[in-house]
Amino acid sequence: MTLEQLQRLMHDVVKQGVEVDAGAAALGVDPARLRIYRNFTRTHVRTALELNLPMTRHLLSEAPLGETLWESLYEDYLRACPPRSWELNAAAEAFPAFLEAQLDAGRDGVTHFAVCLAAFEWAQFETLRHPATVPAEVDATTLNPTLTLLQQAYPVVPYAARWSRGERDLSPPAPADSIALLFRHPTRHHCRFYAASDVLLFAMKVAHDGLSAQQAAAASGQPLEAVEAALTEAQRTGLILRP
Amino acid sequence: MTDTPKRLGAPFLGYGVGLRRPHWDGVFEAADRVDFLEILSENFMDAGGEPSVVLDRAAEAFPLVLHGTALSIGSVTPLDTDYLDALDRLVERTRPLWFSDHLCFSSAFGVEYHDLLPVPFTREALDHVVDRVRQVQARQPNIPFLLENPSYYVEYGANEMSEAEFLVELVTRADCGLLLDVNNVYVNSVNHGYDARAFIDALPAERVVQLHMAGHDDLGDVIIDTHGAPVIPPVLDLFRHTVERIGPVSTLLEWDNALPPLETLLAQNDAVRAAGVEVHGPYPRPEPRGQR
Repeated sequence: MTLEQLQRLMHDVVKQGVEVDAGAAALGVDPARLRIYRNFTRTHVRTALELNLPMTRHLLSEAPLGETLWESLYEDYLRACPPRSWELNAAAEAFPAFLEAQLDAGRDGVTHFAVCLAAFEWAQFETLRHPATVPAEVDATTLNPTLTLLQQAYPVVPYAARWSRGERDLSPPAPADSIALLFRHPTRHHCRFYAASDVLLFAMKVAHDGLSAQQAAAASGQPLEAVEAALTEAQRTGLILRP
Repeated sequence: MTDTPKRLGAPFLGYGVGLRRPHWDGVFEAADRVDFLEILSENFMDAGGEPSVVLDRAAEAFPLVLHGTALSIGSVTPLDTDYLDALDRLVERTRPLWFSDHLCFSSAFGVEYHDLLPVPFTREALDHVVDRVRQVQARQPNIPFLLENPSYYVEYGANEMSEAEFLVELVTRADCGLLLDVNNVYVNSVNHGYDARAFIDALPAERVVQLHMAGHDDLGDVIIDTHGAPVIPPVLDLFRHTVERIGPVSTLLEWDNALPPLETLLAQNDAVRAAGVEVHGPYPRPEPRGQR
């Protein structure tokens, strides 16, 4: 057996393309020992999925089909989207799109809100890992460079906020177009998320356009005090940085 | 203390621990009990945010070595240049004393297994891995590269030589270092029924640049290398034997699952250090990073 043949066989065993007993016989190994590898490779991906998408997993497990739905989704996901990246967490990256495809296919128990939730959770992870450096000091009002805007058909932010406070008895919200703002806090480094309010969107525009408070007041026709209050609030959240 | 020969130019650093997220804050307050840090390369490659901040802090405060799990040195699929580029960036940013990965294949045919699958101990595999180690070394010619003996649960029918024979020829021909995982030797010796001390005695002492110590789970019919439990006395005994045989070697305590409080980790590191000092005597603590 060549090295490539051996690795192809191991690949097929762990990816469930070949039964363990048949693979073990061909490789000349103990089937029980070979099964360890199949189980490990599956467990690692599952752990990554559940660590990065805890709300989605909870929601789908609470659905009428319960754990059965989550189990079957996981199995199908592993087959449809095997890990392609050396970064283990990235094994969860394709799950939102996979879930959306399941929704489009009419799979029982998969809801549009679950798709939105999965996309939100993955955006949280990407925000945490965002390669941009948030500067410690700035010369002018600056937008947090880790900012992501997520436009969704459900208001996920209030749901996620309740989850982060430890609540678990959560009902999916009613559909409503919403924009979530996700960014990494400049000093604490955790992911913060807010529903896009008029105040935060205004502060974002001021920072994006590089305006001073006075310029923003003149351009928007708002009192300077109101502009200052909006910028102060956005700075408090970490959405913008100010000198 | 007994002689501390530099192994591939690498110094004896003492006794260190792996840098894991729950200990990110505390470990910097425990510098008197941690001689060096090992970071898992993939946890920090191209990462922004807190990992980036912690990485810089670790590189400033401690002698640092890098340890990877995803190089897939034994795979028949060509080395992943995106991975190697990211690893290069990490090496150049942190300037580690050495970097390492495992003798295994962790990806093939476009799929990442996120596990360490064993390579067969065959002549073809040996030639293949030697060639790929040279490719990795060519990218970082001034920083030693080490391969670790992994734990493995199957012995292929295709094997043509013993694990020790394979390792000796590999590190000699590739001119790389060996990261000798003492716990893995113990685990493999039990799972495959060989003499752990004879295995260690067969290895070229001058190529052993680092040791790993770790805990495992004994399931009765097989031992699983979990890195999720304290080091057991037989592994400490094997460690003492290793140090008697090859001299003081930088030794790293791995704990990756069911992470304990930092104090438990430090106490384990103290125990490993005490076992080493029993054999090689007191040793000079490594100089702070900026003075090396």
